[in-house]
Amino acid sequence: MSTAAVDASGRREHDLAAPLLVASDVVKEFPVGASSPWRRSREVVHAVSGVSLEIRRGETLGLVGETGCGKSTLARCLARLYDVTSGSISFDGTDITASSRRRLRPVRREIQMVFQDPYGSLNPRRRVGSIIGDPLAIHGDTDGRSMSAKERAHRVQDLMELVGLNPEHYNRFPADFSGGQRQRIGLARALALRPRLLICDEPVSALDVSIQAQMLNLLIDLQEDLHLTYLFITHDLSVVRHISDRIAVMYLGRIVETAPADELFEVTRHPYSKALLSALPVADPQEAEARERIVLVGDLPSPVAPPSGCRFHPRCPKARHDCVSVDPDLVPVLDDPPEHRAACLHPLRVGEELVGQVPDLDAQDSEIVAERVTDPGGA
Amino acid sequence: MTLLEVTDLHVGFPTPDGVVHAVRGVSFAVEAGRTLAVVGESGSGKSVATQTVTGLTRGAQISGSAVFDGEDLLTATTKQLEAVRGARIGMIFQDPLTSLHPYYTVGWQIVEMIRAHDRGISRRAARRRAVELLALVGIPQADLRVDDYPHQFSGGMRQRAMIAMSIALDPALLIADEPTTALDVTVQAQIITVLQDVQRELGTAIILITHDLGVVAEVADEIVVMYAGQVMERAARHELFYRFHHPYTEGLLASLPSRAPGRGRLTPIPGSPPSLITPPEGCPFRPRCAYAFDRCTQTPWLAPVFGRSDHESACWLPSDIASRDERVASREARVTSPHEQPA
Repeated sequence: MSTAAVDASGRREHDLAAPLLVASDVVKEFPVGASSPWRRSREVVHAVSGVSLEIRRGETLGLVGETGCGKSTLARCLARLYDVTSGSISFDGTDITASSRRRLRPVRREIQMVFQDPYGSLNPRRRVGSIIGDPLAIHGDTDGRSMSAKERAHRVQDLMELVGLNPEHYNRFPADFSGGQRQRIGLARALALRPRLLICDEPVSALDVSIQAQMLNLLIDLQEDLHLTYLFITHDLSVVRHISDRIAVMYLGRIVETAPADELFEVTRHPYSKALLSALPVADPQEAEARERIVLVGDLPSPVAPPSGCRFHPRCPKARHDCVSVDPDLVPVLDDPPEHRAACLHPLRVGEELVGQVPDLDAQDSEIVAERVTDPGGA
Repeated sequence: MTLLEVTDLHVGFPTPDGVVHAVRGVSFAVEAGRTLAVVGESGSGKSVATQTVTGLTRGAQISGSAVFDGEDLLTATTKQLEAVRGARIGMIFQDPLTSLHPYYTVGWQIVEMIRAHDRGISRRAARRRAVELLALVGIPQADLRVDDYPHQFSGGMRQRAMIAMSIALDPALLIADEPTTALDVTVQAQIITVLQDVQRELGTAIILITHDLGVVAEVADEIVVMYAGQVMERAARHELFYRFHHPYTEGLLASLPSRAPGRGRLTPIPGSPPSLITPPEGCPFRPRCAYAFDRCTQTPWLAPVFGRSDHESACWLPSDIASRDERVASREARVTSPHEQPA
């Protein structure tokens, strides 16, 4: 199977309708604390707990969630930077879940990443040209042939031009560039091998708004020109709406809702998605005053001991007693089309507001929740 | 009542490559009990300006004045500054993890802060106050959590603890430097609510330094827009969002994803901010400005626009221009503006 992945011309005919990447029931757990052969760690962080998703050819899938929800871990599992605990991942029809390093090599060229931190992701002691040229030095040209230093330099300069950097700055160090330019360097490096899937992990979160907009436009243009598929990870829903075809919302290791981008904003089903949307700052004073913001109580629970049932139930304004015990499946709810799925037992109807809703668990629990609700007001 | 008045502040940092002119003639004023937002991109000098006011920029070349409650903080002695800093002016910084000491409990740090300024208070009373403060900023079970170490707190809780510490001595002014930037949107919403509650209950004036116009749209009374160490525009919140004058303000607002509905390309400001070692002649925004004309090689000053004294803009475009079309038209006509005579 792995030889099929190398063959560039053959695979493109190979079922274009099939998704580029399919993850089914991916679980990733990390043991907590030092483990040695004598002292086995019992506790595990449930970073990703049974995520299934598919990324279609040429689309942008936005993956949204708060810090610690497992979105970056999931991305690294999909890129096979982490081994998964269970579940399977297939790229372009090939199962890569347990592929060896050697077998993964051709896949590595196809899946590349752009990281969040434009400072931490570039080696400060190396010149920009050699940073961008690294993937070419390791993997060789598109056909796998190794490249001469001169060829590489040419290609690197083309790449720099492609991402809007001055190719003459080839010999400079990362410290000579601003945050936005560094992010372009990271992007050029990721594009060097002409990947088909680009995983962007918070690529614009560290940038100023005006620079952020430049970077987003560049990503949109490159997608068209190079027929790229994006997995775009961010915590900023206003950014993700601009660039995504579909959005998946993640909470504590689970995907709680997935829908076409506009549909998610217009027909929000999961209370968590709704809360996330309402927390978005809008740069419009009148709108900001008019809307009622759902301030979620408390913090993200510990992924070491995730809550029972629906993982959002301790913070959900609409929680009912069955949410404590039943873990909902990610399925279309309330006659939604098949591409809109939500993992919620009591999904929101169109026009239904979350503000003012009170959780109704069984008697014992409801007291605790009521107490928490009054808490953040800061009385 | 004007609580803090900063006038013609200049701050320069000597470096091997030359002096970095981080702040170049900035003036602003904060009224008691109000919120002033200072908005700008990285390197615009917004943090340096406020840190200088509280004496936190050592080794810098400083000129101008910053009068707080009748006292010029820029000429104050270290001792005088120490009495003001923390007690009369509270501060919250961007990164709540690095602003708390990892080695001491959160409660210990608040108690130490209270006792440093008030020797008379007993340890026990200071601790009681710490618990009250933590409860005030919405930390659940404050009486237990007071003995936790910073690492046992989440990012949002750490920022709440920072707020608790900064308001411990009931300051008249709170300087919040990017207080929500490192936090998730949901937590951000909580922190903004806490700040608003604090202001309502204690009557604290707030200087909110941020690059996030979304946050500003919710909490600011007045907004100062900074670019390349200078103030570009100053206006009340509604005025700034709905009738901005300066092209830089227009560019900032236009580049926000939330202001452009739907999918597709955004409208960024082309180029990047200038080097502050050799700032450009004239208007610093000129190289990136779509409306620049020959006049812009001279440095504009803040002057009233739309005939309002509370709305000022440092731009040569005519003072009554509010729309994009008008800006384009005026550029084509190469008009000179009523800025001609200094106010």
